[in-house]
Amino acid sequence: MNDDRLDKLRLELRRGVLVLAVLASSRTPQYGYSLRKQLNDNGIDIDEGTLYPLVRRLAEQGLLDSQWQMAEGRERRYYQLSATGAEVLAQLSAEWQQLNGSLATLLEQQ
Amino acid sequence: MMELLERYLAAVAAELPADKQHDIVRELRANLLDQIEAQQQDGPLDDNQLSQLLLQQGHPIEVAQRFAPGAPLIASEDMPLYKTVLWHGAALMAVIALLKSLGGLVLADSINPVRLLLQLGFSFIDNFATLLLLVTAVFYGAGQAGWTKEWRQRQWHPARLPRYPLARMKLSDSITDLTSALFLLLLLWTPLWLSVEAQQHLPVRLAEGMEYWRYLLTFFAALSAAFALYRLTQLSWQRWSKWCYILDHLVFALIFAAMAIKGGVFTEPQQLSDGARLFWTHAAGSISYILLATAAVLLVLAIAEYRQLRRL
Repeated sequence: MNDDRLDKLRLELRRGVLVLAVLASSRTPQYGYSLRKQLNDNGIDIDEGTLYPLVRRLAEQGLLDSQWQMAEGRERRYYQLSATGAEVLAQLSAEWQQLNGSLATLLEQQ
Repeated sequence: MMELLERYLAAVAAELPADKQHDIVRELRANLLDQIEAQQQDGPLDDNQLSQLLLQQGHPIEVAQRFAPGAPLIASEDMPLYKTVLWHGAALMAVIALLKSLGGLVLADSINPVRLLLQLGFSFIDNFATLLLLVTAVFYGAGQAGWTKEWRQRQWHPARLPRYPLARMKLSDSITDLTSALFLLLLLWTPLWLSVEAQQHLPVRLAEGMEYWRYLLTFFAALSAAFALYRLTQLSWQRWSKWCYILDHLVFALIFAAMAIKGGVFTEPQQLSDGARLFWTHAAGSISYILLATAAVLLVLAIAEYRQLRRL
């Protein structure tokens, strides 16, 4: 399989998981760059072009609360998990654990 | 350096919807400033390094699209129907443009092929542009109201799927029949869409005392259009609907044959040009043959449908 196709498949595989990763990382207030850094530090490499629009979308869906704050002489938009977001995160986490367990069994059979 | 950043943000803003420009650009600026700050640990970035960073962000159009993706006018699920309607509409517009151009040819004292082709082309483009606008507007409105989704899901149940391939109602057939019926109605009612002057110059018109053919054909063309519309809401043929379809063909075959046999249904225009005079002197009899040929084709189609009915 060529690299292009593998990249596309990898992107598809990661797309759904990114929502979970962003929600989980937003338990504490985060602004765009700090969120990206936190994800990177935890081994989830995501480019700005994907992350920033995704965060805005989650905020529009009410899963994240947002607030503009002045910090280090500059304004930044901070995002934090909302009450609805926390519920959704709990449900998605359970779903992920179950899926992960099933997948692990399947992959071990190969 | 900051000038380059502001130019980039302005380019992104230009691609965003007006109501979202301020908010998105404000946030994008804050994010980019954070990235710039993270990269300038060894000193401020020069224009070249900032250009590299902005290149990594992507083209302003792509960035704007990611933040505010535009909704398509037509949903991808509606595209097959949209394209089918446009194709049939385009065929109808082409025939109308051809008739108009041929009408002009009959009226003309001399024939100029280039002028004829240009007239044909512009007439088609003019009509098709209007059709494209109308069809797109209707599909957009219906899509927003959720009607197209309702239509796609019509009668959807595995048990209602056609038992045999022949029982499946073809969308393209229903739209073809609807288009044909509408075309016939347009032909019958030229007074509603052609100027008085153009009507006087039509190469053919109904003879005195033959108006009842117009009303008879209008009645059955309207029925045919309504039946085609009904079929658009169905997934499979029933025996009764197939019978109606056969009857529809037979009625028109009968009417056209009767018009051909009776003769004198059509007459020459009030103002006879050289071209029209030529037609009425040498080719007036061909109208009956055209009507008979149309009736024969409809009869053959009716027989083919009857053979399908027996296998339903």
